[in-house]
Amino acid sequence: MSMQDLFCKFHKNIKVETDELREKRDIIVDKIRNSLKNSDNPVPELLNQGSYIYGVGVKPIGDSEYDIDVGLVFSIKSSDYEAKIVRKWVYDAIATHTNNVEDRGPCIRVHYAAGYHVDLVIYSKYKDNDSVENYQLAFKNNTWHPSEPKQLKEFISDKRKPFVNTKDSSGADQLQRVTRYLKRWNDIFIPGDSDDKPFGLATLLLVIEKLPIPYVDVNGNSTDLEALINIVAKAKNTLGRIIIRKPTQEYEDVFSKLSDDAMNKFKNRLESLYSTLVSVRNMSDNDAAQSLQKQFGNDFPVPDKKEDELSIDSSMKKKAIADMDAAIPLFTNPSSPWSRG
Amino acid sequence: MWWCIDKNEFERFKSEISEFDFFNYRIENDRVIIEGCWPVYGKTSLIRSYKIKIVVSDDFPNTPPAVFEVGDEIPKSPAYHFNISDNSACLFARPERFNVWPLGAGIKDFINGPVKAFFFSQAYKELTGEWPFGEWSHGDEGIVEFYAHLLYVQSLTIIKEMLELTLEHKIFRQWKCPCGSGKRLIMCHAERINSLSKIIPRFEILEALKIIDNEIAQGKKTARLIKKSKIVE
Repeated sequence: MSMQDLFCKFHKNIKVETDELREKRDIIVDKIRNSLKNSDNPVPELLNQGSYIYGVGVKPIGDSEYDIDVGLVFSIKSSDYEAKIVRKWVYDAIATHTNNVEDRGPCIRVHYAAGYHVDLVIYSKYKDNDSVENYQLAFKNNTWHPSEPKQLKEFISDKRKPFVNTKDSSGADQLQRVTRYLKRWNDIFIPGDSDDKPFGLATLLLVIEKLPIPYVDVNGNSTDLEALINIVAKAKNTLGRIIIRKPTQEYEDVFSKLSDDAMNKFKNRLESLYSTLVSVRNMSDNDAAQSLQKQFGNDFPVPDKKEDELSIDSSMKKKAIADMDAAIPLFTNPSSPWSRG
Repeated sequence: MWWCIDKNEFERFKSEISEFDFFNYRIENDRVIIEGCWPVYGKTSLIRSYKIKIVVSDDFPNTPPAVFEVGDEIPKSPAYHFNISDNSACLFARPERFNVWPLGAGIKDFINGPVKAFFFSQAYKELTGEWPFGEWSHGDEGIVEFYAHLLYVQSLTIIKEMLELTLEHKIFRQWKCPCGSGKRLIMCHAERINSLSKIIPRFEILEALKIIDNEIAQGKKTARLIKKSKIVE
């Protein structure tokens, strides 16, 4: 089993299967829409967003829940309505069928079934004179903030284009895989919700900025380890805080939620991750996997004994070939095989 | 039988074969048969071994012995260079025998030459998928390739002209070289043509000329140059 095989297996272990989430999303979104239809308020359109739309969702660990991000888009002019009013439409609609609702900063979180929650993000959308769609996001503090969810989606899919040949059997490219590895790495060190943990989007945008093109070997096969080393090296070497600006309005620094202390801890973690990644380059698969488990957790696979024996086999094979190659020049006049045909 | 007729040759055989302690020989139905495990070595270590059987030809050492792999570890097909008719190993292109096991050479040179190269090739092929010393095409095509290799010429008509030169009683070194370089023979292919005529007996060259004529008649123009790979030539 090669290093890349180990990473791909790890990826398979942590990747969110979106089908089930999609089902959950549809159920809750239907409920919300029905409640809104029954009221006198406008009915929103849906805008799917978030990690699993970008293909970077990771399975939650411990007590954490799967989260599903859904945008609710009201075709209204934000200056005509207060943000809190629009948020209340949604809040009230949900409250008719569940009381497990949490009003959070940029979103309304609905705890659905065990292990799932849906984050609803509320937008207003209106077309200006040039028919340009303007999206505004309704915050909890009753303010509207310009937002460009569609442009963000486009930005991400644009940045994925150079990675088209790095897709694995699950259809995920190197950019997505590496983002998932780092998200899981964050979850391992900071389980649960925490202001000290970078947003999923922040991790994705960090990877996008530090990894403009894929890392592959001479045969064109992905080398996710090298891609990771490259990203982590660049990130850890940043002077001062790591600042990654959202490529769309409001161009805010997606790492700004981290306090200076949390940022320092994050950079120290990057430093330690970097040394681990570099050290495993020259290790046997088994030793490498054990080191990597300390960073990425137990979903990182350790090759079983049989696979390890095979790798000993392959190293003996390499030795045998090298020894035979060295013997070839000793044949001064070798015959070549033929057949009478 | 050669071993009763030529006592000296048989004595030489016995003394040479005794140098290989992993081989035993016996006489079965008047034939000399060698059996044992042939070890394949890299530069420093044993890679593997093959159980083999060598049936010494009735007119040894004029005709080479037949070699068999009897441990059933190599598929017996032309792709692995075994003859379909009797599963014998095809150690070399027929005329190549005179290059790698010249007339007059004994069993020791046969084993240390073509037998060693053949099983080294098999073990290398198993590990890497490559033939370390290249491989000839099957049948007549491989024979022409062998001459193309010795003369380092691809064109069938030029190979033919060069082989015809070897049949001349005397080669005039000031003649133009048939290869088309415009140079005199002495400055060009004379050396290769001469050494070929020293190694390969006349009857083999006459045979080769027939084959080449036949190939030309079928519209073929060139022979493949094989790579005796990784060997500096």
